Amino acid sequence: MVKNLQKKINTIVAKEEFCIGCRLCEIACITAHSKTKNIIKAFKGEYPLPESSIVFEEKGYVSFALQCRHCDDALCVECCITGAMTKKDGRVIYRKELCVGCWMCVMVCGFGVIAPDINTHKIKSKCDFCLETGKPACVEMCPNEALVLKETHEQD
Amino acid sequence: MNRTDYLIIGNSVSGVNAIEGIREYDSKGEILVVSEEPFENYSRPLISYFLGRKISQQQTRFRDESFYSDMKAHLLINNPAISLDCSNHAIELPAGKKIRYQKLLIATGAKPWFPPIDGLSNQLEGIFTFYSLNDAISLAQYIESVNPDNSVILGAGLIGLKAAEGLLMRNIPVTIIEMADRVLPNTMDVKGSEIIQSYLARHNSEFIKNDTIIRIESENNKIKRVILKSGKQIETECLIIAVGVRPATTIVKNSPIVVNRGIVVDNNLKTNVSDVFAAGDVAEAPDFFENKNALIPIWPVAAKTGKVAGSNMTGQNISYAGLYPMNSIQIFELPAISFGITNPQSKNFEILEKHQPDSHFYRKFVLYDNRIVGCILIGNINRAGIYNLLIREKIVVTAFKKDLLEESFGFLMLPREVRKHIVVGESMEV
Repeated sequence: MVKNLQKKINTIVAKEEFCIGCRLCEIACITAHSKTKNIIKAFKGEYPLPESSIVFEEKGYVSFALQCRHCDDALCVECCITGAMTKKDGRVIYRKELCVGCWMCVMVCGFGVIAPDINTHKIKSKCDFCLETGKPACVEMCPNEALVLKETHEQD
Repeated sequence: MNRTDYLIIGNSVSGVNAIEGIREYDSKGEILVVSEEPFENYSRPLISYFLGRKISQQQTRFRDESFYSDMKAHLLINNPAISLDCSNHAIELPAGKKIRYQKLLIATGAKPWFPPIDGLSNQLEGIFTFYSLNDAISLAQYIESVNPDNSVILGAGLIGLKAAEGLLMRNIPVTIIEMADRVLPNTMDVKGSEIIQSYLARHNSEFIKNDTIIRIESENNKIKRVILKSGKQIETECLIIAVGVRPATTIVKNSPIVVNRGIVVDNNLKTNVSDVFAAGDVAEAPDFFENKNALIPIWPVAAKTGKVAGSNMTGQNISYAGLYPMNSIQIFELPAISFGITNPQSKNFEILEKHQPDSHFYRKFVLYDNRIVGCILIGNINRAGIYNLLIREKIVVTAFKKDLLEESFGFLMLPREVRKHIVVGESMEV
């Protein structure tokens, strides 16, 4: 028997040996989720800018960028008490309007990539795998292939 | 319908996840869900948000309106399962209606527990439990009609504190009475309890610890005051009893299904009777740390066991690895998360902790054999899930022990091979 419901899509993985810490991935993420989608217009004219969905870690010469893995059996979806975190076409999608800020997803996400905003009771920003274009902007922008798409076997 | 391939008793988080678990592997088999409650779908932890008027009744759903039709699952609400006949693979519903099943999941959850209190009666107005949406609706209606000056909550566990928050949001002062010497005695350690209590105390709430209610006095069928063991008396028109829950095992009472405190299940979520599974708060499932079964009535366990049970009902052989207590509670603007063993009583555990009283920041780790077995995060819960991962994967933390307490803790502090394993994602298909 096969899993019916989940079409697993490619996953973004980080390769720290190629990451130089330029943080262009964050710029790309913000631009891709801005109103104008234009890097200059977004950064010079939009307020507030969306937050990047990337968690960037850096210490000395070691750095890497992490974002949602869109896990197959996503614990954040399983543990969401409102249905704000939901699985759609293999992606973990966050529906802000449903979120009450219970932080169950923050509690269970093993990558630590769901950032809580304690004051607004919402998640700061959640990777949507660039839903609109289908091509993650951070991966496209990375000059060194430190962020790459990992091919995963598609199940149907 | 008189027969179904899959029958699920209970329509809360476990039942819903079981539907999804079934549909991952079987898109055709008939699913019937029976629920004693009058609602199509709601999330228990959301009732405190509803009470606090942060969300509407409609917003207590945790699945979309199209969920049951998308899943091709039939749902019968207002239908408590009355009896179970395992040998005939059948259950009885009200009005003598019988349903036969191929596979059965018992996901009946739990029921609020009542301590022995003189004068306690369900005939009295103004006394509530805080477990179901119906409880929250009745409480909200009562508050709106009576406008009580204050309220009393018996029990300072998670349910009691969230009920308190809901009432405080309606500007009703609360007095919380707890038998133990501190709030959240089951999830927090002493310091964690103190921090949360002192924070709550700034919000129109009062705590009475090491005490309990021994008598309720009423007038005209309505609660008037409570008398405590210490002799103290509190006048109130509104009492919420939140001392805990017990597995709702009534349905298996006259069956051969083995019940300890809850329905005993194995790693496949199977009971001792063939074709009968149990999941969620009613189930006593394998524990993560110890080679025994345990009751862990929390959402993540209910979701996971429901999902695994559902998958296994289709013939899969998925093993449930066991979980440990984990709770996330934000009271007003103070977030707190705890995992596993937070308050060990033996000296075999190593404790790491850091407390900054000014900022409510508190972080504590309980280690055993150089692995994290428990953790408390208050004030700053950023990346809490990484600790959950370290517990679940039983990662040896010796090399980065000191870094655990840092607010900036991340994968960079992990040894390279451990980090790469996680970051590249090889080990993370949970």
